[in-house]
Amino acid sequence: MTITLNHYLLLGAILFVCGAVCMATKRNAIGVLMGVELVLNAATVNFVAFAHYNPSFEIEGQIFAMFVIVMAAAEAAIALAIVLNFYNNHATVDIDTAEELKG
Amino acid sequence: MFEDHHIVLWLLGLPLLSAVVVWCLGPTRGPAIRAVSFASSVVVLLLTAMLIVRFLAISGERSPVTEDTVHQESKIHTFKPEFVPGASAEDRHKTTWNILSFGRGQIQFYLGVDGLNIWLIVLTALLMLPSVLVSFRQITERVNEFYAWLLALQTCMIGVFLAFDIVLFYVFFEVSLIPLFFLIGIWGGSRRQYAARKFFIYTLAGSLITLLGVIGVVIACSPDASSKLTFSIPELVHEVHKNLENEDTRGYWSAVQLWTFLALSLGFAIKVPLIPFHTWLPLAHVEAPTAGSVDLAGVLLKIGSYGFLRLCIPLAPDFTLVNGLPIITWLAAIGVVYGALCAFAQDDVKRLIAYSSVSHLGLCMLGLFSLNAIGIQGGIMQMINHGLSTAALFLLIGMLYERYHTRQLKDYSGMASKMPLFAICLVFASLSSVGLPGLNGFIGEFLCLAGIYQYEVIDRQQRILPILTVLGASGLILGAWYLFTMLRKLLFGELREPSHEGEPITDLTVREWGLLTPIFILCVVIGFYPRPILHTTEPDVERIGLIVKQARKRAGLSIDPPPLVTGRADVR
Amino acid sequence: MSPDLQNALTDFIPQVVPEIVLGVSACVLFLGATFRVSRHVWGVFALVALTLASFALIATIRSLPLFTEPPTTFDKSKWPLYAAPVLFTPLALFFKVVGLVTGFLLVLLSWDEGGEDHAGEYHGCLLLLVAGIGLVGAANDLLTLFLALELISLPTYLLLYLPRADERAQEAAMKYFLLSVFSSGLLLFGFSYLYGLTGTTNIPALLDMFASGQERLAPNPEASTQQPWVGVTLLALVMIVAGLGFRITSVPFHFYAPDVYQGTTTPAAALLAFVPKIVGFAALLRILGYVPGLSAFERPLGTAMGEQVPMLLWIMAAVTMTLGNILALLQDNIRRLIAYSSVAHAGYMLIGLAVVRYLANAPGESVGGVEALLFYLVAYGAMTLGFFAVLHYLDSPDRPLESVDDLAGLGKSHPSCGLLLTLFLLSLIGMPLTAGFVGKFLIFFDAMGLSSQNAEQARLYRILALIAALNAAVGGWYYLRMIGVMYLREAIDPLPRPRPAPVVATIAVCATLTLGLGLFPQSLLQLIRDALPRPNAQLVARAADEGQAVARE
Repeated sequence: MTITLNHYLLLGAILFVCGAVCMATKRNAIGVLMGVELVLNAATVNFVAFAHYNPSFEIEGQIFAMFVIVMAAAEAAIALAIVLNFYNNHATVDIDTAEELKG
Repeated sequence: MFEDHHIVLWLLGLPLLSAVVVWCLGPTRGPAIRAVSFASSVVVLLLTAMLIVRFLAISGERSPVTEDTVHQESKIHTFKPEFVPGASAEDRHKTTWNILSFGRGQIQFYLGVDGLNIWLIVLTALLMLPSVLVSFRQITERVNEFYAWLLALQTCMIGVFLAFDIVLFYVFFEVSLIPLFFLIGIWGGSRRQYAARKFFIYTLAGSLITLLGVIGVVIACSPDASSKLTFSIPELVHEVHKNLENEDTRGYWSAVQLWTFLALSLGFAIKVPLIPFHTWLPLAHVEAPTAGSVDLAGVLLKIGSYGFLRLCIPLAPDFTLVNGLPIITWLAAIGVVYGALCAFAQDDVKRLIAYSSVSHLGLCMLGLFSLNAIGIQGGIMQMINHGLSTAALFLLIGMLYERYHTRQLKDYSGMASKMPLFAICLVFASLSSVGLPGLNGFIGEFLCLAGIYQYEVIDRQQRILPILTVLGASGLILGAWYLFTMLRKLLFGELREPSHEGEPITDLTVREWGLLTPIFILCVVIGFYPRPILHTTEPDVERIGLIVKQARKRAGLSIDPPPLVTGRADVR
Repeated sequence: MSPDLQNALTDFIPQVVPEIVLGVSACVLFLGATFRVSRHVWGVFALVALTLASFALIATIRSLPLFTEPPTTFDKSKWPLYAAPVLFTPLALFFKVVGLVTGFLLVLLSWDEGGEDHAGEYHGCLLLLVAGIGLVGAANDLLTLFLALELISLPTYLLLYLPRADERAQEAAMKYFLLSVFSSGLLLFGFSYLYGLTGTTNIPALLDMFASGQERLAPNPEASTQQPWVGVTLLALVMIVAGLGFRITSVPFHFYAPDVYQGTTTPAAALLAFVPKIVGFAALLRILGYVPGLSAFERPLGTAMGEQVPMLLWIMAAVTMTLGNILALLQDNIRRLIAYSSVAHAGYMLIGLAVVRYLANAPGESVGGVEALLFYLVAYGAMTLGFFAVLHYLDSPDRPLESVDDLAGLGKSHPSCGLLLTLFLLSLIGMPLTAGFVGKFLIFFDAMGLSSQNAEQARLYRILALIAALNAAVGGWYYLRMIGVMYLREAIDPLPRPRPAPVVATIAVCATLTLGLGLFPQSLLQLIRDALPRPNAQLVARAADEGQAVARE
């Protein structure tokens, strides 16, 4: 079986859904963060796949993917800082303990 | 000395300027604040007097009916404001002062005077004087804010009447809520917060719908991107009639009128107020300080009926004639009786007068919406008269309340022996309100009833039971009933005063006399010699009459109602 | 790639000098803050940096031609429009100016905020944010747009988290962060499909391809039917609108707003209420092809993305304003209340976006919808920033200003603060003589202004205008409640008298704008009109002659 664009798109879609589900269900802040990364990577897979499979496309897809990877790293850094601080205050990374703000 | 349009500008600018000055004086300089407010209202009154004199001089030439009556039927009629500030060289009825340009049209700072608004402006200026004077002793806290809001309110009210640009009209219409909100909310009675908010939200909701109506009319008048956009009321009226006279566009415009009428009238009906939109009124009146009540009843309610006259009827004439007329007249007639009955049931005097306003303005609307010259004249007269007599009643009750701090009828009895001057004034104001011939109330009420009678009995051939006329007339009888009942309970019988502390109770002071006198003089003058008012309003009422006449023609109704004599012959 | 295009890729550097200045200053701040701890030094530095950036902007305007019209030799493939990552268009200039003004206001607003030791970083983040606003306005490529949006998001996380370290602030930062990143993910995923459908990330080229129906997926260009890809386009659009909907706090992506506004500091809440809204709407305008003149000279505006988008926006607008207003009625905490009110205002603005498709093509006419939207944005910015600035001015650690009742008696104890707060609230209600009224008037005017040839749509949008009017009345109730509390009630525990602070300058500017735009709206409206070039009739004809020569060979 040859692997076509559609397979990659399917992979991207699955990754996206996994990421979204992960964000919605995980109680651990780090787990939620992983979900976020999955969503971003789903888009990256799409970009690269599109750029690779269409002969008439130039390299924008790959460039976009590079930027997204760097961006994701920056976001992860900030996220970890926030989570760490959260841990210092709550002694846990379970985000359900955050319930001060409601109404 | 003064150009005519300078007066118009000063009428608007002076109260605003005084409001700013008064605010800046700070809360401690009471005498200075009162002096400035008093001086400002006196000057504004003098300015309106000048305006009247100059307007009377030209009102002879203003009639829309010229000598070639042959072409009258097909001509398109619209308002012709005078004394327009910034008037263009070629047409003194139009202005060149733009506020906001839309590319193909602009919102303008378009003010002017014509027969429909001039007397309402006079009324506003006249009622300002007692409002300021009566508050001299009543208001002791945050004096500067009080007078600043009062003067700002005057600016807005004069602005509404003067505006000939539909957006400008709306701006003043809505801004007038803010000062009154504070007047009621800060210096009002015990439930002032609730009253102020209810009043504000009720009116805001209505006026937002009105805004949609305003925008709708403007847009309907320029259907595609290449046509000109106009916000001037005279031009809009002109456009509407041009489109209605044109066979091709008439179908579309019949539909437009429905929505125009509904949207515009909602805001105005709340303001008037018509049943069933009246519930804010008694509350607002009871809680408002005397000056607020005077301006609310005397002028602000008229903005509603004036809006009907200025915008609703001319901008949706066909719909008004065919559907609006029955709806509004029925609501108004029910309001006349309902307001009177409610008034009778009240023990709080202020609430009683508030309900009497519902009743009286119902009669005014009945006159306006009979859509004939007599009725419209009557409606305008009724607006002025109600402003005078109700303001006087509110002022008197305010003075009584100032002395005894209660307004319940059951607390009083036989006050005539304690305060004879007060009793005379109250009886006089009540008689004027009831419509005693020889006083002002009679003229308006008579004309309104004559108008609605003409509509029902002559136009509609409804001879057996002209129910609207009967309801309207019964409002008068009921009015006499509840007002005289109030007088009997309050003034006559054995003396019984509510308990009070502090200074001994005195009769009316010179200041109080002074502030009532101009109102009473005007009541008598209008009662005996209403001609100047009828004379100045006539040309513009005629314009509306001609607009309605064309609508009648389009609706397939007979243009000239059959004369009364023929009518009698039919019955036989 | 032609040499012209290569030039376009390097030519953009001079256009972003103001942003470079801001970025470098931010770096200096980040570095410098490790050596010296002083609120005033870094605050002044930030102001200087913003001033320098303003001068840079003025110099740019002087030296670079605004990109308004194509060159006389009309060759689309040589036109930088189809290659440049950023373009110095009039609209970009507008957003840059708005961004810089916002920057000044925010720096002054948050002068006293947070710990002294974080002041440097705080102001650095603000500068990056301002740079981000300018870049979003100028972005001409999906990649630049995405990066510019992130340039705003990343500092925002820090701004939420830097000034306070208590549990509520952290919770707010955490909530905002997670949802914001997810929204970025949605946006990115949508972008990836757009790229796949067209093969380009250049926004004008992409819109052109949609307009001419040339989008198709790569591997089977000979595929007989395009039907399946219509679905993909729609999916991509929904994801993009959702991702940006988060930034403009439209329902159903609004739920973070009240929590975050309540948890964070007042200046940060002010920032969140305004900055994401500007960039969100700027990005929506670009991607949906609703900015006329540049990419849109050969097709009716806004058609590229299909008929469904206006409908989607219609529904979003109606639901957003209604829900926002109703929920705001139930709030007692001022900041939660304003959060919901900001949701409601996003709804009014969405009306402006929803009608563009039907209004924009009137020849010689003002650019319906967009104009109203931009005016409303500026007006909203002035009144909201002003409102938050007054709150911040009155707020103090030992007497926090939290619930509506804390405002009691303000009209008496702090007359000028009360008056200003009243001005901002009246503007939020939409009373005449304030900027809020003009904004609402323009929005209503556009929603009612659909031509009668389009009867069904016209009716639909009139209903929307009616919904908006009723909503405005509902909104009146809770704003008025605050005015009522300030003036009609006595204070039980009066607020202390605040000392003068730089925030007063913010209040003054916002009040002037709110009142000035209400009294003299013409000036700003003219500015916005100039920022939105009209479709050029001559060009339309010319482009039609040259056929469908697309940028990419």
